[in-house]
Parts: sequence; structure tokens; C-alpha cells
Amino acid sequence: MALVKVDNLSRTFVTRGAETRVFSDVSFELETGELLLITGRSGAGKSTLLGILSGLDRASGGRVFFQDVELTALPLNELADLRAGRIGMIFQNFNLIPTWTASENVEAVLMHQGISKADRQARAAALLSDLGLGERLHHLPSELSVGQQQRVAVARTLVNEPVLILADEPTGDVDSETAAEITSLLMPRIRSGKTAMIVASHGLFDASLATRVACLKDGRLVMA
Amino acid sequence: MPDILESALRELKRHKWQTVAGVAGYFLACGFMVAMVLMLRHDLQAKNATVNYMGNKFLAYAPMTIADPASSPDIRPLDPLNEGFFAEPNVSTSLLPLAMAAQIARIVEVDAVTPFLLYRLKNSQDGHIFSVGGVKPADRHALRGTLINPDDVINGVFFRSEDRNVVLVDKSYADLWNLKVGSVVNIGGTLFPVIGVLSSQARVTRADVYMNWPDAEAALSRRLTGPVRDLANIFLVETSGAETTASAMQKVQQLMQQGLTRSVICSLPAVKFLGLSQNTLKLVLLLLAVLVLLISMNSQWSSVAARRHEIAILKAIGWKTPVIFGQIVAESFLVASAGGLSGALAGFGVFRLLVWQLGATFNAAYLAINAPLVILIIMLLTVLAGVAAALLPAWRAATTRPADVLRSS
Repeated sequence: MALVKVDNLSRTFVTRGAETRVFSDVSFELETGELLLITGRSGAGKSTLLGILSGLDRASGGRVFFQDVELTALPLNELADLRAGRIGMIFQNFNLIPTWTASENVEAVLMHQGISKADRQARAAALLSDLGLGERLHHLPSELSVGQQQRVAVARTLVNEPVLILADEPTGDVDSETAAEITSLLMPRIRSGKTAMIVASHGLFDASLATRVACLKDGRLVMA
Repeated sequence: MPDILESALRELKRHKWQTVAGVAGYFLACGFMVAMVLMLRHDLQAKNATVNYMGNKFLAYAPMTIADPASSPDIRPLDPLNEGFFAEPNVSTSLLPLAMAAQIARIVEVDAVTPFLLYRLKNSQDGHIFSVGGVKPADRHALRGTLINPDDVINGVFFRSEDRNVVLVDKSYADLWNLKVGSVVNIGGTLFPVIGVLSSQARVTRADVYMNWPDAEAALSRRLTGPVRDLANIFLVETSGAETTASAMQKVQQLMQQGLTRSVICSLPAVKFLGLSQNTLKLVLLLLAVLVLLISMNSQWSSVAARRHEIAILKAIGWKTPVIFGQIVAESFLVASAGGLSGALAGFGVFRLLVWQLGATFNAAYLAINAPLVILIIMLLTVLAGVAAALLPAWRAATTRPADVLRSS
């Protein structure tokens, strides 16, 4: 059973009556322990594809299965449940909440799930400490370096131990040293076989880490 | 739910100046409403009490016409030029059956009724004209306010139902003829000692000398061609309230057929004015509530717009639509509750300060029951307005499409 199965996925935007096809006939499967790197130029539709896989966006056609459940048919609240538990997202520009501390940003994923405040704080603190931010728990994102911010974003993704990580340019806005640091945090979880990851990048992610590489070009996903 | 309240509280603490501004808005609105409503309600109650005291009394009688000189042709004054039954200075009246009092009492709006014999009389010694009134002291409730009551006694005592051959005199008549307690009044050749002097207050009608009913019947019968038995020329009526007086007057008139009713105190315009005041109060409060609702909705809307990106992130990491909706409503609820509670207390404080400054007196029941009730109602309305104001912005926040917001950012 594939962890993710994408079947003839397409996405079209309609703006002022004009249709813009982003991609069509996108099909692939992903197993646990795999890292799929999707490359392509800016605007090729990589982020849109990740958006549909996470349930943040809706497909125009085709189907997406996650652990044999058809994501494209799930209501919004069930998709939110998946994002709060089994699917984690890393955004290109971190998307940390600027007025929340590092610990609170990580805890946010655990809120409204019946987890006590003490448990939430303990889990966030433990993970941030593992990522070398034990002294920065109560710092706001603006008080952290870019690399530290990205580590908080990674911690927020990993705190629920997701089985699928969707990363949109996770190393896009950081220097090579920080990029290496981030990948070093994520790779062990993939290699352990517990997690799969799909990375969308226009060339800044180390392709040698990927199990497979695909290119989104002219609205088609081509496996390398 | 605790998570929603916790995160709502945390957000309010983070945006503390915005929170302070929100609380201050509700504080001012609620405080103003409490102070204003308490003052206006009290003012209205005082006016109501006045109008109800003065405006719920009238007299009913049947005027005697030239074409129909007497409805009781057997009972005529011996001296028709100087004497006769009357209701108002120039209105001679017919005699009506006493049983009509019971009929009037059955009218829903009527609270109490008592018969009255009012007769103009010529003093047999010096020839001066004065009026004699026959009353039933047992009808204390109907007499109070319409005519006389024990509180009106300046000197002496009020008469009891069983007292005979004694009179009470009105102060102005007593002053004119130098009458005191113990003086005597000549009525139809019989001397009656004065046992009390009554103050001259604004009443529906008045007499110079008041007698107990049996004494009046006997004394007046001596000045007429026939005996007065179970008859009265006026009925003094008290209604359940100023607002029902007009309706009661109309029904009494229908009952009396050719009768007239007169309310000396001009209560109807006052009743209308009170209705106007009450409606104005309601309108002002409604406008204020709408204003509070719109201002807080605008404030919530701005807050949601400023946090659009943040809300999109929270949705992207798995916060559900009802959670986002609940948090925005909870934030508004907390702000409105804090502002409402503190504002209500401050409003009550301002009200007490105004009371003290104006030197007004408020009865204990008003302060103990009415004021807390007003405060509670306005506080609840403020909280409800806060929740209602948040519904639309919360819906907007909850239905934010994270993909669109995050893509554009």
C-alpha cells in the first residue's frame, strides 16, 4: 500500500473568466521512507501541488489518496485533522506567528487536541532542545536568526511525528550551512522509514538526498 | 473549550493596547447606559407616581338642564335661587341612585368609588352662601386623593363613620369665618360643632363643610321638598392608573347615559408625555446598542483583517474552522465581559454620585431590586452585543482560505 497515491491530478485557476491550467495528469506514488524532490521553475505549480496534497487547496480534477483515504473527497475539518496529526508542512518563508514565542509556535499544532498545557509545553521544549533551541524557547521569531527560525518551523512540523512531510523550498531562504543543518534534522526521520517527504524546490535543495526526483514543467510532472 | 479560552486570553494579552481600547469602549458604553437608564428610569418612576396619584381620579355627575329641570322632580330645593345640588360652580346636578356606585365599581379600570352629596346652601343667619358635602368616611380608599382623608387634618380630628352631628371644615372657609375646633356651623337651622379643620389641597372637588353621610341626608332633606334617601349627586372615582383614566371615564359616561365625567387634574397630556419619555428612552438605548454593536464589529473586523496571515498559518497547521470561529468570538466575549462588568459598576458609581450631587432621594427598594436588575440586564446585553459583533468577523476569519493567503504572502 502506497503512503500517497496521486492519480491524474489537475489544477486550473479561473481569473476574470480566463482559465489558466497549472498542471494536469499528475500521477505518482510515494512510499514511507522515500523523499521525492519536485523541481521546476518558479510558478510551475510546485507549491500548488503541495497545497493540494496537504488539503489546503482543492484539485480541479483527479484524486489523491493518503493511506488509502481519498483526500480529495474529505471535508475541510477532516483535512485539518490530518494536518494537525499525520501530515506536516514546512513553508518556504517559515510562516511562524511573529507574536508567539518559539515554544508557542510549536505548541500551536498540539492545541485543541485534548492535550494538556503541561504536556504541550513539555513536548515543545523537548523537541526545541533537541534542535538546539533549548535556550530560545521564549524568544519571539524576530529575536531569532533565520536558521533558528527555520529550526522552529521544523520543530513545529515534527512535534506530532507526521508520516508525511510536505516541504516547500525548505532551504530556499537560508545559507548553505543552515540548509545543511535543516536537512540533517529531517533526513534521519525519513531514513528510519517512519516518514516520507515531498520537497518542492527550484534547485536549492540537495538532490542527492532524494530517493526520486521529478520535474514539473509545462504543466506535466516528469519523473527523472 | 478551555483551549479556546486559553488561546483567546493569550491573544488579548499579546495585543494589549487593542484589548485595552476594546475594553474601554464597552466600559464607556455600558457605564453610560447603566447611569443613564438608572437616572431616567427613576425619573420616569417619579413622574409616573405623580401622574398616578393626581391623574387617576375623576368625578362623575348628571348635569341638570333647563329643558329637564330635575331628574328627581319630587326633590327640589326650598330656595332654588340660592340653593341646590351642584358639581362645579355653575353646574347644577340631578340626583342619581346610590346603587350606581356599585355599577361603577364593577368597571375593570375602576379601583374605588364613593358617593358624594355636594349642596350649595344659604346661611340662615347672615345669608352667606357656602357648600356642604356629605361623605362616607368608611370609603377611605376612594376619599383619599379625591376629596379628604385623615392626613388633611390640621387641627382636631377626622370623623369616624359612627360620629353624628359633627362637621369638618375646610381651612379657607374656617379662616374666612374664624372657625376653630369647637366652633359651631349653622346648617339648615341646626348647629353642628366643628371637630376638625382640613387643609385646602388640590382635589377633584371640594366643599366648605363636610358631614357624615346620614347627617348630610337629614340636614339637606330639611332644605328640600322631599327626603334624600339612597341618592347622590356626584360619584368620586379612582382608577387603577393614569393611563386607564380616559377609558374608565368613557365607560362611566356610557353607564350614566346623560352623565358627565370631569378630571380636574389634566392627566391625559401627562400620560402621553410619559409614554413619549419611555419611548425616547427605549429609542436612545436601541441606538446606543446598535452603535456599540457596529463599533465593536468594526473593531473585530479590523483585528481579523490584521491577523489574516496568522489565521491562515493556524489553519494550515490544522486548526479547524470552528476553533478559529470560537476563538474570535471568545476574544470578543472576554473583552465585552471585562468592559461590561467594569462599566456597569462604574455606571452605578456615577449614578450614586449624581444622586448625591442632586440631593435626590431614592427608595431602598429601587436601589436594592431595580438597580441591580438594570445593571445585570445591561451587562448581559453588552456581553451579547460583544458576541454578536464578533459573529461576522469570526465567520470571515474561519472561512479564510489558507492556500490563498499564504500564496499571496
